[in-house]
Amino acid sequence: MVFHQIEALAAVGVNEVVLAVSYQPQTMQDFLESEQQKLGIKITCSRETEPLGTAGPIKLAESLLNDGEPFFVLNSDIICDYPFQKMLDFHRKHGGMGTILVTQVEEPSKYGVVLFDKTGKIERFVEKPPKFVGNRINAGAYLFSPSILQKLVLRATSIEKEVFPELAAEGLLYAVELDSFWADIGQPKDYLTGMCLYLSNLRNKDPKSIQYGPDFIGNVLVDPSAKIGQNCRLGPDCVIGRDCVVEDGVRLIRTTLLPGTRVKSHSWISDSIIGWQCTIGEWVRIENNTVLGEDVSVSDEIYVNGASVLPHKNVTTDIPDPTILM
Amino acid sequence: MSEEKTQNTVSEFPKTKAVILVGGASKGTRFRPLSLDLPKPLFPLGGKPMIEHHIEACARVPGLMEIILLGFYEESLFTSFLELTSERFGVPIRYLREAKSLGTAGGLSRYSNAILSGNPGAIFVLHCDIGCSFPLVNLLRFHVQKSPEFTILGKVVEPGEARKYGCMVKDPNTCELLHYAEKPSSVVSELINCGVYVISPWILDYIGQIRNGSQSPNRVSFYMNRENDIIRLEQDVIMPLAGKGKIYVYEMDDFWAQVKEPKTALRCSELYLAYYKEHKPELLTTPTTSLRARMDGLLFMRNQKPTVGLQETRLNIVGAVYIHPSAKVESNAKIGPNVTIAAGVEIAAGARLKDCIILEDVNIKEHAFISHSIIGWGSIVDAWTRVQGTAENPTIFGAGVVTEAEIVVRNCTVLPHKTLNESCHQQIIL
Repeated sequence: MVFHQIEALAAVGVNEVVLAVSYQPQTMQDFLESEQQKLGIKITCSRETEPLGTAGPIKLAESLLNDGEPFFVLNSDIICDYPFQKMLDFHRKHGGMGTILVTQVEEPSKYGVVLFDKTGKIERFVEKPPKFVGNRINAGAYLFSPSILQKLVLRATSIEKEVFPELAAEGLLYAVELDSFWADIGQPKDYLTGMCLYLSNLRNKDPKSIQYGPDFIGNVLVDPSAKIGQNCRLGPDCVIGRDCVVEDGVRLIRTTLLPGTRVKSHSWISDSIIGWQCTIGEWVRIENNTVLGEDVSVSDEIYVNGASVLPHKNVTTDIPDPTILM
Repeated sequence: MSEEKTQNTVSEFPKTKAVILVGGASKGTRFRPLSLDLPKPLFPLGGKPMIEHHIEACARVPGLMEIILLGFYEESLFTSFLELTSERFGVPIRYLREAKSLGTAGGLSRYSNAILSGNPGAIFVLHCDIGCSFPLVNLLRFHVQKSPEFTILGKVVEPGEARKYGCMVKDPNTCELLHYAEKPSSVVSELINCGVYVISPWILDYIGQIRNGSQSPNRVSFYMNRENDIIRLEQDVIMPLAGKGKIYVYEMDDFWAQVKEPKTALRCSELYLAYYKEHKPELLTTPTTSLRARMDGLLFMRNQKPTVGLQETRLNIVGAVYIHPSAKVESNAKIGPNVTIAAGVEIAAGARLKDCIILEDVNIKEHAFISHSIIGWGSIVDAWTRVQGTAENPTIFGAGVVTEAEIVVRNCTVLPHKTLNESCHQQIIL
């Protein structure tokens, strides 16, 4: 997910990306290497040894950010078509301390609503308003001038709840509107929705990247290194990652296969996320927001309904009802 | 012991007849929805109508004169089956329809003239709703040796199982039946009544005496049923005669199962298939039974080299499987263990079937998965659909059920001619 953001950042001339992480699996390290090469930018990980909330990690990376130029802060759970250039232009124009990306949503009561005037200057924030006050919410992407670093402290603090209201009161924050799709994909279900949005956006922007043919329905993205067998029906809304193998007669719907996964013949997977290096047996059925962690293997003929399976597990009996398999 | 290997001569045995008690439509309700479209005695187990196993076993008995089916089903339901079967096994078979249920013993007595015509020395009496290896020749030999009035086929089962059936206590030396309890609420014995008997003509006479009142079974339950003229073989005949030197028990180790609900049919079919695998492997379908030959309806005899279709792909078969020669099965479907596929069925490429009974003219589409299920006549299971049950709670489709593609049906009973367009779980679909 984070690489969509890194690529978009590189495209507007960002030359260094800092990932604020609390854990760092090997798979992530491998991706970083290849991504640095590909995009010609520097990627650094800033690792928290204790939880610092959403503001603390920015302070932690102060030495990397304090170069006199504005910097972006992105929430990695967000998927959208980032208008980074628009944010930069607007930020230079208004001269405030921060620019916050906002997006319109149908049910603002679930989110933090942002109220701003015609110039974009933010007046206040209302967290999960029970009554309608506005329908623009914080989209989780910010552009800050380095001067904000003086407002932050190195302890667990929330930038949204503790820092922003104070800055808004001083008239230092501005809102810029996102006009493309937006989704918070922190939860698997939302991830799949985000994937669908991303794919339909991709179809408009880069139709060549979508797979076409009798075995494909709707928006399906297949990595060139993946192998697809005969008599499959894939889609709508599937992503098949690097080095995946999909054997004959497989049916995939609204599903992501992360890199290195093999799905054996005649299996059927819908609305699920299959982790890295997984092996799915023959005649398996997986559905209903199932999430398989890295290196999970599912035996032949098994039924998995709405399970969350932690890495390295072997699933050898049916999981007929939603469960977490530790 | 396999009966084929023992040398039998006609002179060793008396002339016999066999009576198979088939019951009636009002008795098969626990077998719904499968008994809605076919009388239960004709439901296939191990690839053959339930009752054909009984008939085949009777036909093997030297000196058997005739097989009589006794029940209150409509006669026409059995006509063509009985004609074909009679011809195949070379034994006269007729159906006697009871006007009303007289109980298992009452029916025998009512038709005693027909049963005793031709003077058989002994009569086999078999309940229909059981699956068994039917060691009738050995049973008869035992009967002749012991020469009692009544011989019961018995089997030792798991202690927890026995109470569901008639429980028997026998003399360990003489094998005489000392005590009998029908479905007792406490533990009586692990030796159960298999519902297969040999009786002498005297027993029919004895039942006749109960009917006309000159003989009283001396039991409360008998008098409670008196007004219905119901006389039951187990409670009203076996029970009072136990311990009186008249009844003996022949104990066997072979498989036995009662077929009540659909789930027991699946289990019983499995037992038949396992028995074939051990004793009559030529009845099962093997991976090398060539496809084209099968489609042409030719069956290979053992040791006979197939002459057509050798180049065809092998069937992907696991364990004991019976596929009717007229069924079309694509070579990369995977079938078994414990699967029977009836005539006219089509199984598409990439389908997976295990632990199931597929009835006539069913159509299973590509990549469908079926396990622990019975799929009724002419049903259609569409592509990538998963139909599954468990041994205790199988999925049952009545006739003509149609599923949409890509759904999952688990532990459901579906009545005939329903269309399933969404996934379902633990439902009875009316």
